[in-house]
Amino acid sequence: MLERVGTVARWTLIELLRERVLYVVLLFTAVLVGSSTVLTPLAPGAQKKVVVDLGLAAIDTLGILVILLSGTSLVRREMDRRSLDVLLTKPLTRLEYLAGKWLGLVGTLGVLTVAMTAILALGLEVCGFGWHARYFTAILGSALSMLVMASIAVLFSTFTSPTLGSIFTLALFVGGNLSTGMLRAVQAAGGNRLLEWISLGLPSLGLFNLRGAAVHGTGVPRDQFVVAGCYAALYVMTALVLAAHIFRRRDFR
Amino acid sequence: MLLRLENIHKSFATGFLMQRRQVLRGLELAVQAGEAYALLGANGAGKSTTLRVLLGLARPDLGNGTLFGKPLGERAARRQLGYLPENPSFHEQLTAVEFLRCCGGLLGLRGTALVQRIDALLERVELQGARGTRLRKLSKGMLQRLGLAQALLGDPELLVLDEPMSGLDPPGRKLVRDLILEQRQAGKTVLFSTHILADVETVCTRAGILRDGRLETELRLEDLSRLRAESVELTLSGLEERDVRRLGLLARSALRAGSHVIFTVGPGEVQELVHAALEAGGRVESLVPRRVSLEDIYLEVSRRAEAPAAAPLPSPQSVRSGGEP
Repeated sequence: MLERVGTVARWTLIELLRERVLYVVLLFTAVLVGSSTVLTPLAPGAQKKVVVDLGLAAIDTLGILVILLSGTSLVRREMDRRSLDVLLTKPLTRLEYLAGKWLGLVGTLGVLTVAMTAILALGLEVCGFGWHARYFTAILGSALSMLVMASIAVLFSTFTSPTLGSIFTLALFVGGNLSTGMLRAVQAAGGNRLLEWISLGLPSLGLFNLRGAAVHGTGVPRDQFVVAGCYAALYVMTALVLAAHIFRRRDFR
Repeated sequence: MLLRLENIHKSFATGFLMQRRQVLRGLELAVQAGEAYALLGANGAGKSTTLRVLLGLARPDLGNGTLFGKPLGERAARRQLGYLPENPSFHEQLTAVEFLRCCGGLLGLRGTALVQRIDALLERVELQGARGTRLRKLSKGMLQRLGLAQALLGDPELLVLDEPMSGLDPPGRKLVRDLILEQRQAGKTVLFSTHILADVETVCTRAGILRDGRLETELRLEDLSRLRAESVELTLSGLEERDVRRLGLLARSALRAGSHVIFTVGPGEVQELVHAALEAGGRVESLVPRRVSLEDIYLEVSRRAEAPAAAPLPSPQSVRSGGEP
């Protein structure tokens, strides 16, 4: 099973890394990081924080852009051009196929995150701010967030068009970043069962946002990492199993 | 029996209102190991859907089937299967070798054995020169050849080809024909759909004609060869009108084309007609034995299906109706 998943993942990774759009996005985010150095005079005394904060935010932006542009069309594109037919007539289950696609997307995000981290580190060195190990904490948080969003994109790509998939994924990304605050607000206002359920259903992306701690130099408790890791694993598994369930029922004309 | 479909019904939702369109209506099909079976039929007759149901890409609404003795869609059965879709489109960013390597990985092939198999297949489908080319740069015919290579990669017991000759140039068509014949000689089973009837006659052992989602007729191609020279077309010239009428009594039909008259006669009646024509002062311009082709039978089946009271098929003993294997 792992071998077949690995084959699909490798295949997906090669395909995605050869997409030109990916490099446009990478360039865009690199420019974003570069431009942050220009903004430093606007925040006297906090120049380093501005550059680091914008740089880490750019890594997040890069991730979600790639997920929206490539992730949400991963399966649907193969269905439309019928390249999927050949794969599914090989001894490959639909769950293995989806897991492979997700893993390939995650691999692509990993490669881009490494590239962006290198660009950020270089930018910091050039500006004379230097790199600090705690920035990795924030990047790890971003990576966990991307794992979750990638699984959501794969889920949507099994049953909807890339455009609708992108809209839904973006909505969940925005909602997921606001969900913790939304839940607190609802509970503070006396509680509303429906809104509470909606908040709980959204991916709790606030859990993975460790940028503040990285920028301001406050530590992140080990427990928070464990909780965030377990939450991401659970969310990814649920999304992929749901995607496989939907995908198994699909007919290919 | 290598594969069997029993009473398969399949419909698809189409259009904005998702109305159901019935594609297969009680299809029965059985193919034995070692056969080369062609599925024929007009566009929309259900050929591709039949193959998709068989491959587990579409689930039947009703009915069931087996492939290698296992229920349709089982992964174990897919190990012994090679499939070439109609108008194949693969992963554009991969090269031909990368694509075949990935397909080999899914089939559990690896190492030197896989490399050697890929090399041999690329040479067989004459794509050695394109091994490092990205698939988006390959022509339709080259993709079709690559599709054949991936279908043959696992040395499958059953090869399923959906319109394998469509879009191919004459050398490409010959390549596909030769590959099918090679598979037959190796004792493998080939099931394919096609519109090109001449190729069916060359490579198949049996053919089934689909119409409106049912198997209208099945025939053995060996029976077809027995029907050759079922009639002869004799073209004569220099005959008076009264001679044409008199000779017409000896022939099945007579058709005047300018100064020539074309008589259609049975093989046993040629000598008598030629003799009578020469006696009447006529000249023999040509004598063409006419065989019953698969196309004749195909067109006759289509005509008969539209008008049930029409004449019987060219040779009833060669044709068995109702999907009986």
